[in-house]
Amino acid sequence: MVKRILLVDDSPIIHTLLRKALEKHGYEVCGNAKNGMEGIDLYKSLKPDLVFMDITMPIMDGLEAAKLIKEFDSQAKIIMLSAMGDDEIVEQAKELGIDIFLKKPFDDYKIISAISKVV
Amino acid sequence: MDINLYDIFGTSVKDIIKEMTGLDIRGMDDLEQEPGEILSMGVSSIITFAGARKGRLLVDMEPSLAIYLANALLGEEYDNIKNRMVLATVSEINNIVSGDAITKLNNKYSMGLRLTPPIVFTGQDVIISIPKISSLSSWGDTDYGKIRINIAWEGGNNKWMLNTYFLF
Repeated sequence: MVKRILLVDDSPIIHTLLRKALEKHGYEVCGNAKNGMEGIDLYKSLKPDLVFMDITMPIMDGLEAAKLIKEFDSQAKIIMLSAMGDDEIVEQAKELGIDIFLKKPFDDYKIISAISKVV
Repeated sequence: MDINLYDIFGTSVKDIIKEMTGLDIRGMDDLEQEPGEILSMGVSSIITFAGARKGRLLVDMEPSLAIYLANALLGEEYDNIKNRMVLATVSEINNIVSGDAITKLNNKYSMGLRLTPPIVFTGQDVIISIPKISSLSSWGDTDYGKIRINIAWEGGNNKWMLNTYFLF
């Protein structure tokens, strides 16, 4: 069964690059959100197998959105994909139960390897 | 002035653009004082960061370079600088460069800095006016056009304000 993935990032560039990489490897992008708030709404309505979540976004950042998604569904699978990756942020993500933390920039291998460890 | 707070951005912009698009940036080894007003080369993006101190990074480049970066990154053939994806490319490159540099500064100096989402604009000879801010610029050149970064920090030995406005 094809895995369905939700993308949450305020950059159309990241949406485009991720969609290309994921579809090339047989995954389905089931939704695109531009901020954490939209990401939560889409998670609840689409129930994806996995979420790629940015951190720095307007309206609601990715750490807050990940926390709220985990409260709604403790089994939610989330990969953080952020330009930021300092020790403090990575530790915060770990405490939220984030499955994998990836730092931008990325290539197909980095993305597909991360997915295979999570779903 | 702690020069480490400035020159790390030059290293990050060269490394990130090379990794994302394969393009080499020549130069960008020196830092020069800017008087306060900066004349845009065509496409500019600004990100601010705040934590133990406040600062901002301006990435400014010629339109030909912005179009090249978008095409190299996305595998497209954009030719208009006002295309949304060309502007978004410059914006995202600034985001990743800032994230890389700020991550290193946070890990080294425990500054607790966080980024705001970037803004991007285009317009040749736009004056980017940053009152009362003294900042440092570094220039680079590529096969597709020139690039400049400009870094400013508030606090420390400098009483800078970070209000920025644009004159079109």
